[in-house]
Amino acid sequence: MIAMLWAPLWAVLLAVGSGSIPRAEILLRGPTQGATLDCGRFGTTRVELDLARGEERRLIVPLAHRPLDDAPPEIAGGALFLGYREPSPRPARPVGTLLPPVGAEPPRADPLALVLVLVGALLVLACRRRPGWALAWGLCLGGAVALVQGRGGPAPPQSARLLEGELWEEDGGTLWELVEGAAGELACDPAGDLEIEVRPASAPIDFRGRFEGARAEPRWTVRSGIRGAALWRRAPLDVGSRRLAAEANLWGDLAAVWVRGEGGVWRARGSWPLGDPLPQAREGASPPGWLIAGLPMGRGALVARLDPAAWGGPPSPGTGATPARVWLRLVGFESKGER
Amino acid sequence: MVAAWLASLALLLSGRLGVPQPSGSFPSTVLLPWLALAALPPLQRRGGEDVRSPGVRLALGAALPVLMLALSLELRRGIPAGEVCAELTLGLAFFAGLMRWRARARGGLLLAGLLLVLVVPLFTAVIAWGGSSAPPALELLARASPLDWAYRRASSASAGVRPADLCPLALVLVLALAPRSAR
Repeated sequence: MIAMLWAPLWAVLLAVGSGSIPRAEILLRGPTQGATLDCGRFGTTRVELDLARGEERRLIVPLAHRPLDDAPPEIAGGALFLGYREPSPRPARPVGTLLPPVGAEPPRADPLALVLVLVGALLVLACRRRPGWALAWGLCLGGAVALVQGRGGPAPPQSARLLEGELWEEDGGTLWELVEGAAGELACDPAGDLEIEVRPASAPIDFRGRFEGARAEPRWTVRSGIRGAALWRRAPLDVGSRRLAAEANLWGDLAAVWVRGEGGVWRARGSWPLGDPLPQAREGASPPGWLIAGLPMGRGALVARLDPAAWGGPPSPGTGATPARVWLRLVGFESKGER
Repeated sequence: MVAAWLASLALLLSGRLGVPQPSGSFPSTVLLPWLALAALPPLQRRGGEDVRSPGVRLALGAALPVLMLALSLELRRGIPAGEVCAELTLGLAFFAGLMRWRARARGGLLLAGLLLVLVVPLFTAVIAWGGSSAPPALELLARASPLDWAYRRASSASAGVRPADLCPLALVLVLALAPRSAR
């Protein structure tokens, strides 16, 4: 209870937990159905893989934490800990460090369900001299409330993606990074992702790798044991020959575009179809506040919301789909006459 | 009982009312006032007369619609049904056990229950509010209280039922099954 009373303070001090993903090598020996690596309060890694007697498989697995003394995590199941993998050198990344909001808002009560709750209370009060009837009414109304509120099943998980880019003035090259977030659970690729971030930072994270067959590649997900927690993954992004320049949009249809000149003023440009030059500035809504946060001053920038049909990066690992909401930021974007 | 009903509904709907909502489990949030009600002494004095508090069936009848609403919201949030049901079952077991205890408790048993369920966690919280940490023994005792259990889950706690939940369960069982103390 003491820790809970200090929760608001912790929330401020540890707003976001982040870091590159520690990896370890393990050896699974059959017969086994998998193993769990326990990193204490930081979280767990669960590998689900059926191996018959005599079968073995070496695996590189992500971990929630790597201690300073390199002590191995506690392992349950038929696995042997072979050691930590040294992290690969961190590649250069764009200037932004933004996490797109993933809408971890709690669900709202249905008005009809609220009316039923009120009716239930009145009926129970009316039957206060007959407790058996009161309990029966409570059960009936409780069931009705569950039916009304439960319509439609669980709300679909909300996820969002941001493509963050930086255009280098020296050679005209660009550097791109993909940041994808989701509330509760996130499909991830520990081999390709650079970092996993979780909010609140104190939340433990649990990796889970599921294998469809003994030789198949795993499908990894990461979730937090804390309700309402949000998770993000960062990965380098290869955009191929796609390019955004004032002369032509060689990326895809952009549903809404805003451009900032060196003077620091944001101007709406409306939608920007593929192949067209950048539209002229026009009256329009301001860009979302979170999307323009943390951008370096003195440099041009472009932020945009992608059309659902436009290329928004590779499909998410595990789901094979791209999140419905994809945003883009490009630092160093210049358009003539934009101040 | 009316106060517990109002408090549980207000806690559940605080987000809609513009007040920061507890970020943890909805069912445990709703259970908090009901567990507090169950931990109060069984008799209330009104106008010079002792009035018996509501029995477990009446209180359950009033609490169930709100609890089912909380359960549905929790499921809609995407929390696995097994975890939510296990937590709700445990919470209802605490509630029923405490209601049984307070209906039977007299003298020493009443005092012990009041201390362990209500006073110790509140005292620990007050010490923490002052900035210092409570003695470990006191904190350990507070962990055995169903109120502390519900509070932890209501404030961003882990999902599911954990081995540590056996402590409050053991306390409630001991209280509910303890022989009636002499007046």
